[in-house]
Amino acid sequence: MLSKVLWEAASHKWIYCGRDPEKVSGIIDTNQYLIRTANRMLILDPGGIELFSAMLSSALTWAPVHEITDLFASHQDPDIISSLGLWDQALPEPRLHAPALWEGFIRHFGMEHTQYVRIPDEGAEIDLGDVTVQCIPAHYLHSSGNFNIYDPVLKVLMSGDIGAALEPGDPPLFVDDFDKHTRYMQGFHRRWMPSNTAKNDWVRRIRQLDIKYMAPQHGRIFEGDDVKRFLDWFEALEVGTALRDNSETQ
Amino acid sequence: MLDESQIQAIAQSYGERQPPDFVVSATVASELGQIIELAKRLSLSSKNANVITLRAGDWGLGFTGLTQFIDEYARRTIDCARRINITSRAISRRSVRNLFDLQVQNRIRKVSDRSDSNREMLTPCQEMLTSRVAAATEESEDNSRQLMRDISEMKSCIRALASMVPICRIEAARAGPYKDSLSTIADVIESQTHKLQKALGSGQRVLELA
Repeated sequence: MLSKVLWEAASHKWIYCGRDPEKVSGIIDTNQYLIRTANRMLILDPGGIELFSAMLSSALTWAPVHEITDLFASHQDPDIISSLGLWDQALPEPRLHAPALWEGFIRHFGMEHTQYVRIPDEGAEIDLGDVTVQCIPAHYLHSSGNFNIYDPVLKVLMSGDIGAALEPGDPPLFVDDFDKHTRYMQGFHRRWMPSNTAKNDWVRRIRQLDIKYMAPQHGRIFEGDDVKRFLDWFEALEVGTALRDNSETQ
Repeated sequence: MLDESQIQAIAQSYGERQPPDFVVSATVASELGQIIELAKRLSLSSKNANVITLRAGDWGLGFTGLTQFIDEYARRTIDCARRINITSRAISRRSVRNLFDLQVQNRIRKVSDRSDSNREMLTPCQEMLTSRVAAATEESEDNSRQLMRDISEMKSCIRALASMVPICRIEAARAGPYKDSLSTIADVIESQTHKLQKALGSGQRVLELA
């Protein structure tokens, strides 16, 4: 599994884990991000069961197991958090930050040693000591209880499924030609994002944040002006219930 | 590289629980994986030393044989570290799978205990799982034995490298005008060998957590 530092400040760094060549075929490729401070680590959307061994090995190259203190699940999907039952066994006393709405559902993945920290609908902060990140509401994009993570120091938005692309092969980490890249995003966003109203509300709120990098859970990362290009493109896209018939979802 | 206080912190953080095998193996892979980079640097230092000894002509003859020896053992250490990395990751993956199988086995046992008709129906399934768990255990034991053999070989390599340091110093002292350059190389070799010893020690301590 590819694992490398993406962005770094004095207080913390963001580490990418993904593009696993040993990944079981037939499962969707996912990006995982780690936020590492001096003595703690938060894993954002740790991924599915099939990815767990590779993710654990990667995470342990950046932090000893007792310093992996926090997990974040943007929503309830299996590619986001079905590995929870294994992290629960692996980590000494983890905290899982996840939508309050999904608590009763996510607990089905198995939680014996993990503390469920409920993120209310209006959002919350995750205090990692050296840095505090914000949970930004992104409900109905696509899950009905869904959050992004915003880091105001490094100006990174981990956008979950928003900005995701289903691209064949082994694409690079960053978007290099936005217009070409839209072909890999369009079908995904039209089909998986159910509400134009929710989408436009999200775009309006996100425009108020200072963002240098937008890091989705699938596909490539947006940098600099491509973040604004994405917001413009997404705002103009008709999605979900706004589509007239089934053919438009394709 | 984990120091003693961090290793103790790992053990204590689990309270009454034991750190799971798959965490211990993955941590060993990560710790001993660092040896690959350290040994590569040592191999590079020995190559640098070789260039100096060639330039030194007769003054560097004593050091030349040493550099070849160091390079050879650094390479053997790299090979061991690669094998250890692969084996410990395999052990980690296998114990995750085993955890699943054991959970399924427990659940089936519970269903089976509820009634005789369940028991009859579930017997083939239970037998299949039992043999799978037994095969996995055997595979893990084989892997653990292989891991111990590789660690032991790596220990010998690092011990041999450490034994070369004082000889490097003696040969550097005899190198006349090249004494300072070769002494610097000897310092680098000593510090890198020391790091290798520390990384190996840390990996072995982590293994004791299992």
